[in-house]
Amino acid sequence: MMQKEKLDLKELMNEHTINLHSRADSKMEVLKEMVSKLESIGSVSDASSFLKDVYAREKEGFTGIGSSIAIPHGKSESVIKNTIMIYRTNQPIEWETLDDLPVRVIILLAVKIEDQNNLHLKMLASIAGSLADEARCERITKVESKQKLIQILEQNEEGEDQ
Amino acid sequence: MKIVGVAACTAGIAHTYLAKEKIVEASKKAGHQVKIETQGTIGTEDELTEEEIKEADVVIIAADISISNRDRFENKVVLQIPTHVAMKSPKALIKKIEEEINTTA
Repeated sequence: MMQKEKLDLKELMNEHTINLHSRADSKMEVLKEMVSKLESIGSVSDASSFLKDVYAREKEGFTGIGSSIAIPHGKSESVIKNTIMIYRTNQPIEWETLDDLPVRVIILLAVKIEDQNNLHLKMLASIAGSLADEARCERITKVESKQKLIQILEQNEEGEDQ
Repeated sequence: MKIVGVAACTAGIAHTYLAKEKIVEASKKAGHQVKIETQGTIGTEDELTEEEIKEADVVIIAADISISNRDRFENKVVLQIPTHVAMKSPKALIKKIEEEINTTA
């Protein structure tokens, strides 16, 4: 049975949390760009402390999931507002990945440490799960506009075997 | 074959759910019945019932941390792996399970 569940991600992401043309050429550089953007839009209180928490998670295992995508994430006291930030780099960048290939799309999840809002966490879980679909990952790496990217992520298909 | 399992990762935000979907997708493609419980930061979802555990041929624990209620799987064939194995090569995982179940049967 095909079950189409539409997610409403506007509380978690918008055009300001997406950059499809980042010039960063290293993991550190792109993460720094992303956390300082998170600070400037008011999602985190302290960019460098959030960056530290993201790196703490990086040490625990690969966040490069293959298909050119990485999903670094930090559950951190510096997070004020749960946010999904997506940067796509012009150049492939080195990352610790499951397929040993570099990444171009970085989906950074900023999560509040104490959160009563299960709905946000459910949406994040659902997006993470949906990245198991390689065709979907490919669409994300090729998408041409921010709006389309949000649409792809909001379209969630479950329970269908190919 | 009936497969059940549990997925859990350190942060409980992303890998848990990705590992689950990878296992579900690969199991279904190979023609098996599958249900994977997730133990994440939201709590437990898709919790396995006693019945489902009883009927299962194999239990996959894809986890980077110790899971809750592991004693439910006493006397079952349990395969424990880190989440990245399920994420990286789900097909090979299912194939290995098929082989092991066939040789022990």
